[in-house]
Amino acid sequence: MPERAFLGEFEHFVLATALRLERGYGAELMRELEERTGRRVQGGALYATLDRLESKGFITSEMAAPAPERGGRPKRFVRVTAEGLRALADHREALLRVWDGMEARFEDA
Amino acid sequence: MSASPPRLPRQLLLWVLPDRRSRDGLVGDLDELYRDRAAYGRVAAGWWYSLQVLAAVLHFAPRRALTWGRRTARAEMWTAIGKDLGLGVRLLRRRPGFATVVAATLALGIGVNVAAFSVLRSVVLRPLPFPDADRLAVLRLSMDNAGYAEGPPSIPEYLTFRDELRSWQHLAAYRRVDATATGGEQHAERVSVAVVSPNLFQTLGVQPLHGRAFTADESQPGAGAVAVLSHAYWQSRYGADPSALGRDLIVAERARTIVGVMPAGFGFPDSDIEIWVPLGLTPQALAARGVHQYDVVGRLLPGVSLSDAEAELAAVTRRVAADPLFNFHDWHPAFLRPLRVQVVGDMSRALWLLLGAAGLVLAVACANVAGLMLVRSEDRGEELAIRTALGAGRGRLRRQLFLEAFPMTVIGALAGVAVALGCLEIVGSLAPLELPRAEEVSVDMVGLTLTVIITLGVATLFAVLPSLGPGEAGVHGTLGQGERHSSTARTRTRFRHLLVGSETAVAVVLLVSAGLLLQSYLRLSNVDPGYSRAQVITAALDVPDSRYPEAEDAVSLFQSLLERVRAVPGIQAAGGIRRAPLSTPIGPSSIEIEGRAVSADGAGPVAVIQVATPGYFEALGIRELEGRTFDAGDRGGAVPVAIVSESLARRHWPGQSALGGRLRVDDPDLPFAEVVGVVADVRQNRLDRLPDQGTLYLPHAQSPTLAMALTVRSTADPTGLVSVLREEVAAVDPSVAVHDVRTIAQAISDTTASARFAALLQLGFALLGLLLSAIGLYGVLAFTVTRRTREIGIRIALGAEPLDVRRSIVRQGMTLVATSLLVGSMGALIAGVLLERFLFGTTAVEPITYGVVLGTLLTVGLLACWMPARRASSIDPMRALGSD
Repeated sequence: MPERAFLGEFEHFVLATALRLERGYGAELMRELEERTGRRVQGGALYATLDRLESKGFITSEMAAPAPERGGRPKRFVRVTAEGLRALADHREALLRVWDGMEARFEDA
Repeated sequence: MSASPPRLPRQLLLWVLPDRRSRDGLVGDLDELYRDRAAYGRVAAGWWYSLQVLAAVLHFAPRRALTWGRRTARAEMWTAIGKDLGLGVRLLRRRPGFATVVAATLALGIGVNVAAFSVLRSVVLRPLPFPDADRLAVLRLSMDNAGYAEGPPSIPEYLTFRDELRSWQHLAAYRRVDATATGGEQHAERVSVAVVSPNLFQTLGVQPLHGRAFTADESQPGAGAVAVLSHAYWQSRYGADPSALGRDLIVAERARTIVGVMPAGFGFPDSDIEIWVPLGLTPQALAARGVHQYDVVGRLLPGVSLSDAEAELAAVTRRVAADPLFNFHDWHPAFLRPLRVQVVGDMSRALWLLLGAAGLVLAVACANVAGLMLVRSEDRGEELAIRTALGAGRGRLRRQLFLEAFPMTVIGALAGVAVALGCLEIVGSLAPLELPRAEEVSVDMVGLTLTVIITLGVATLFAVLPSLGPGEAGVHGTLGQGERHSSTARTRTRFRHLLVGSETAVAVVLLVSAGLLLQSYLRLSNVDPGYSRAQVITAALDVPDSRYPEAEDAVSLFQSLLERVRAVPGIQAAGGIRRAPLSTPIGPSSIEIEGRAVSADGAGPVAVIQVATPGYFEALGIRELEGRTFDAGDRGGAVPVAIVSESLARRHWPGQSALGGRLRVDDPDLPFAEVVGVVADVRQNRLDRLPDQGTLYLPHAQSPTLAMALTVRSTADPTGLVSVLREEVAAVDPSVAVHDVRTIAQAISDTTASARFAALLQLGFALLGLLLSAIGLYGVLAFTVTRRTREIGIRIALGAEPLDVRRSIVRQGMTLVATSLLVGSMGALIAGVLLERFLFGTTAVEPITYGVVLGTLLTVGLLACWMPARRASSIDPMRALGSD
C-alpha cells in the first residue's frame, strides 16, 4: 500500500467541509464547521490547517477582490484538489471499516 | 452604523500573521463573523474576537518568529549562535562544579517555591469544589462565656435556626462519626460515617452520581433506613456495580438500603467519609439542647451577604432568647464563617508562612546565582575587553554571554520543576497530616511560570551584566590595570557584598524561624499532659447495643471485662473511660450546679463529661488532689457521686473545697451528684491546651453506657499487650470490636505530628538557605582574594607576616558577616512575632535559638573567610607578581 499523508481529525473536518462547500471561503467554512461539529472553531487553527492542507496539495486557494464589509480584506476561497479528494475517500473508507457492524453498540448512548 | 472589532487585538493579529495572504483572509473572515455576532451583543462578540485572536497568536507566533529570524539573520549569525551555544555546553562540561552549583541553586529555589505556591493556591485560594461555593457558610456558637472558644450547635438549636432564619436557601446539619458497617458477604469493618440532615447534598449543590439523595421525611423517627455511599467506598466494596443500589447494608447496627452513590471526589465534611446516613429527629435528639455536636452549614440566598445574614442571626437570637416560653438556659451567641475558612482553618496562616519561607529561599537562591554569575563574568573581564578591542560588537558579546549561561539555567529550571513535583508528591503522601483539601493539590501553572521567569531572568541578567557595563572607557580601564583601581570595580565589589550580606541575613531569619518552631515542638511533646506518658495503652471498644439492651448489662459487661484484664500478668491497673485522652475530641455539655442561679446572659456552666470506671485514674496515672476516686461502692442504687477536675473545682468553688458540692448534667430528670474527689486537669482533646472549662467525671455504674474505651497500665513496655487485650475482650464477647489500640506515647506522637512536620519543613528550608549563603559567602571571598593576589604578593614580598595578611582578609570578611547577622536578627525578630501564634510555650526572643543560629552562622562565616585567607597567605610572592 502506498504511503499516504495522514489526515488529522480537524484536517479531516476542514477538508470534508471544503468539499461540501465546493468553493467556500474562511468565514463560510467556520460557520459550517461550527454548525456541523457543534464545536467552537478557532480562525487561527483553521488557517493553519488550510496552509498545511495546501502544502500537502489537498486544496488550492485563491484570493478574491477585497470587500468593504470585511474591513477591506479579500476572501480566501478554497477548493479540494483531486489528491485531496482521494485522501478524503481513503479516510472515509478506513473509518467505515473501523466502525463496521458496531452501530448496535450506540443504541443506548 | 458599522461594528468594528476591538482595535488592539486586531492590531496584534495583523502583526503576528506570517504572510499577506493568510493575514488578509483571516482578518477579513474574523471581521465578517464579528459583525454577525455583534448584532446580538457587542461585549460577547468582543470576547469571542479576543479569544479568536489569542488562538491565532498561539498558532502563528512560532512561525512568525521563524520567518522573522530567517529574514533578519544572516547565515553567519546562526553559525555564531550555534558556536556560542556549543561553547555554553562545553563550559558546562569543563567547569561542572560551577554549572552544577548554579543549576542546583536554581532548581532548589524554583522547586520549593512552586511547591509552596501550589499548595497555597490549591488549599487556600482556590474556591471549594461546590457550585457557588462563596455562598456557603457555617454557623457556629461562641462559647467564650463558658470558657470554651467555640463549638457547634445542638439539634434543637439547629432546628430553631432553620425555621427562623430567612437569609438562607438551605441550612443543613452534619456530624462525623465512626461506626461499624456490615454489608452482604463482607465482614464488619470500621467506616467513616456522616450523620446529616437530608438537605445536606442540596445545600452543597451536589447531586448523587447514581440513585437519589435523602428526602425530607427520612429524618422522621422510624424512617430513614437508608444510606448514600461515597464513590470510593462504592468502588472498593461493590466494584462500582450499579446494582449496589437497593442492596442492604448494616451501618451502626441499623439495616439500611443503599439509595445513592455520590460522585468521585465528593467528601463532606471530610474527604474520607464513606457513608452518609440521615439524621433522625428522635424525641431524645429534640430534647438534647445542651448537646453541642452538630455542625451547621448553609447556602445563602443569592444576593445576601454574610454580614446581612449575621445581622439577621443576631436579631433572631435575641428574640428567641428573650422568649420566656423558650427556656434557653444555655444559649450561646451564634456567628457565621465562610465554609472555605472553616475547612482551611489555621492552615491558611501556616501556608502563607510556608510560602514566606519558600520566598526567602528563592531570594537567597537568586542572590546566590546573581553573585556566582557576576563573579564568573568578571573573571572573564579581560577576555571580553580584548574581544571588544578587536571589534566584537556589544550585541555579539551579550549574545555570547547569554548563550553560555543558557544551558545551565535551562537544566536548573527543568530540575526545579522536578523538585516541585517531588515536593508535592511528599505533601500528597503526608496528606492525612491535617492538611485539608490535600487531594486537590496540583502544580500551579501561574506559580511555576512566575518563578521560572524570575529566576531565569535574574540568572540571565547577571550573566550578561558585564556586556551592559561601561563602554570604551571600561575596556581601557580593564586592559590598562585590571579593575583594581577603577570606580566601577568598587561599585561592583560593594554590590557583591550587598548580595552576600543579604543572603546571610535571610539565612538568619530562616534559621531562627526554624529554631523557634523546633523549640516549640520539643516543648509541646514534653508538656505534662496530666497522665503518664509511658506504660499506658488505650483501646476503643465497639459494643453492639442489641446484645446489651439494659443499662445493667453494660455495667456487668465492663466489670467482667476489667476483671479479666486485671488478671493478666504484667497489668498493674485497668479502667474504662468514655473517651480516652487524645482520641476523638469531646465537646462541652451544659451542667447545672445545685443552688446556683442561671446567669443573666442565659449562659450556664459547661464541662466535658466523662464516664469512668474504678481503676481509670490509677491506670492513667491522673493525680488525686482531694477526696477519693471511684470505687466498687459507687453502684447504681448508691448515692450519686462525681469527681471534678481541678479547673472545674476552681471555677465554680473558688477559694473553697469542691468536696460536698452537688451538680448534674443539665437535665431536670437526673439527680444531683455529690463531688467526692478532685483530680488534676488532663490534656484531653489537645496537647497544647487544657480544656479550660474543666471536666466532670461520673461513675460508669451510675451513668452506664456502652461507648467506652479501655485503659491499661502495664509494668513494662505495653506494646506486647495489644494482642493479649484483644484476646481477653474476645473471650468475654467475640462480637465486641477492639480498635484504635495505641499507647499514650503513640497518641502524643500522632497529635504532635503537624507541629513536627512544620518544624522539620522550616528546618529544611533554613538549612537550604544556610547552605546557599555559605556557598555565596565562600565564593565571593575567594574571588576577592584572587583579585588581590598581586597586592598580597607585594605585601608578603615586602615582609608582611602571613598571619597579618590572613587576619586582614578574615577581618574584611567578618565585618560583612557581622553586619548581615545584625540585620538578619532584626528580620528574625519580626518573623518571630509573626510566628508566635504557632508557638507553644515559646516566645519570639528565645536566647537558645538565637545563640545557636548566630553561633552557627559565625562559624560558617569564619570558615568561609579563613579558607581563602589561608590560601592567600601561602602565595609565593614571585608567582603572585608574575601573575599578570
